[in-house]
Amino acid sequence: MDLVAKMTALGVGMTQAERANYKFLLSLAAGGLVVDGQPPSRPGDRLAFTTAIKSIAQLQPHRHRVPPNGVVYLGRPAFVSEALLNDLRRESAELREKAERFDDHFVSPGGPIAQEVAFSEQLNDLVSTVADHVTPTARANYLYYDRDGLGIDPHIDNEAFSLNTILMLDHIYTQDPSRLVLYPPDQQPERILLAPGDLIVFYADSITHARERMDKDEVVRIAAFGFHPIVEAEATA
Amino acid sequence: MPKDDKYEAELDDQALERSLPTLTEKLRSLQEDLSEEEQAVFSSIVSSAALHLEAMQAISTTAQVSYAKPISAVATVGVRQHLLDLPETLGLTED
Repeated sequence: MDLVAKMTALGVGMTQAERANYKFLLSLAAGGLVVDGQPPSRPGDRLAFTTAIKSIAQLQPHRHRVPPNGVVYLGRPAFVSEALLNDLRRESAELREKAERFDDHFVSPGGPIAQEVAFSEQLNDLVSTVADHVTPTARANYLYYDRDGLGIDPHIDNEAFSLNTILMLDHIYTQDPSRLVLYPPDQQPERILLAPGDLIVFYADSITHARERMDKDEVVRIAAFGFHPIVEAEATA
Repeated sequence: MPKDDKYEAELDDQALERSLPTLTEKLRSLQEDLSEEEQAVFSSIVSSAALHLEAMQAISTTAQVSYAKPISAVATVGVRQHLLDLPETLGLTED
């Protein structure tokens, strides 16, 4: 049994809380080992990074559903009209002053409009179509990267955002925009540029990912909606 | 579609903090079963996590921390401190 298998097996017997902290530990390690957005080149560090992100991916009970890069949808859905986008932008702007700083970005719980989207038939139908059995986790947040240097180092999301649905509201930049970066095991990192109105649905608890740091005068505002995959045992319970 | 908030109940701050001692024992047990080469990788993972957490805390300008947000890169003060201390707790030393 190799180290990834041993580390994955350790997670099988854990409580949900133990596993959440275990994933947090592995996620922190992955974030710390990345160098300038790239997996480390030093062999020892690279092996530790690879072990961490592979173990994270293998720890999930729904791992068999996760595609190699974790992404199950990327595009602009028909229900994201300009009117809806503007409503979300307005609500996001209104909530900005109440947003709390968490390390290197700002977060506000979504207001009524974001909540309505989170539980809308359109969004739930879309996510269910691309990810099979899912349930919304009652989490809808606005995230703000609106200062030079803000971003998020490589990490995974918690259980409330196992399947994260990110809607790009605004991206203002002058040159070389920051990207969402995915770190799929055994693949090169994928840098994804979302245009306003674009939606990405991906297994954020399984695939290590990051938001590149904001450049001078760059601003990113997004809305994130949480879903959780229901594995077969849960679905039939 | 009905919401599912059981994750919030099962993964509240207290539950996460209560799980740390048993998680640590499980990690210690794993560590004991690893080869020397695997222990070096395991040590690098645990130490890198602590160093990264330390760096993130230096970035943060407020003491407001919560698990109730989209990324797991935020945790309670208790969880953070436990993970910061984990290399020492497990008897791991940096290269």
